[in-house]
Amino acid sequence: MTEERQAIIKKNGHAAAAMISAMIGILSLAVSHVFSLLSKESSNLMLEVGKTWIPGAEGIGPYSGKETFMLIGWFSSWLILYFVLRNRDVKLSHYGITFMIGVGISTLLVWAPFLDLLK
Amino acid sequence: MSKIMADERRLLKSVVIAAWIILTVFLAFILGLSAPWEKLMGHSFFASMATTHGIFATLGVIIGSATGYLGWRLLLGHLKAYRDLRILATISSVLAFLAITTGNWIYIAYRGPEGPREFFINNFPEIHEIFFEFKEFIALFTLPIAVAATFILWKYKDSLQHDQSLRNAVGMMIAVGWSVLMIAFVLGATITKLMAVS
Repeated sequence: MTEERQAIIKKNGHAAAAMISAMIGILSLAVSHVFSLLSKESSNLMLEVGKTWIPGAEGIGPYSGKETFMLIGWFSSWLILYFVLRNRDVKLSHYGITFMIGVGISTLLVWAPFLDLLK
Repeated sequence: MSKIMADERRLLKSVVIAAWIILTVFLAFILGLSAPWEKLMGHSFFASMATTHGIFATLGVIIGSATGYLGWRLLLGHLKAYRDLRILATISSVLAFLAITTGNWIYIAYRGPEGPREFFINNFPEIHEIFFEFKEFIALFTLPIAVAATFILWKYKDSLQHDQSLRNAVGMMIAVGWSVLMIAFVLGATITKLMAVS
């Protein structure tokens, strides 16, 4: 690799952080949805969390809390991973596979027939 | 000679663009002032919000599909229009945010008394319990994926064309983002066809 090309290529830690934090946000949404189905108390907790900041949260019910957990999971993990990975060069394909698996699991967790199979 | 021809071509291009802008602004002004917007948008706040949500979602699919195409070219290593991809990805992220926030508002009407949720649970429970539940979550997936892909496109704008692993990562994220966008849009449009919020 030439020196010029090496200078252009940045460390890819920021990309890994962005990718994995998006996956964590999505996974947080799916897991909070599963928790809300487990008990009435969890569902009420989701609503209370949503009501703290989302306008009209009462109208959309526990969904507001699930959105909140998605944002918390997404932004907090991005902040942490940003500082952890910013100066690192990582094997991005491993992070890509992790991203795909996380999104795949999240998709199954919000698909009602799959949850019925787990009951 | 060739300089004169190039100048003429530039002049013609400017004239065409100026004429197009003037005509568009004129027509938009006339149509905008004379259109019965209240009939189009609906008679209630929620109906207007549903129309707005539909517009953002449709624009999201159009821009998202263009982004998806460029993302596919990026994944194959054939992309030259990196700047176009960055701009389209940014617009896609903004549209995902707007579609989600307006979707939140119409969800209030969806869950309200005599709303679509009540209708579906009483008549077609699977529509709510399987398809709508899935749609309301999968639609949220679009925002983190679009924002993360956009961030990477801007952050690595100089190194992207030299780094295959970065191109693979962004191309894959755009493909996943486009897929969930299409699922959410098709389910949303189909469910609305059965019963819209009013």
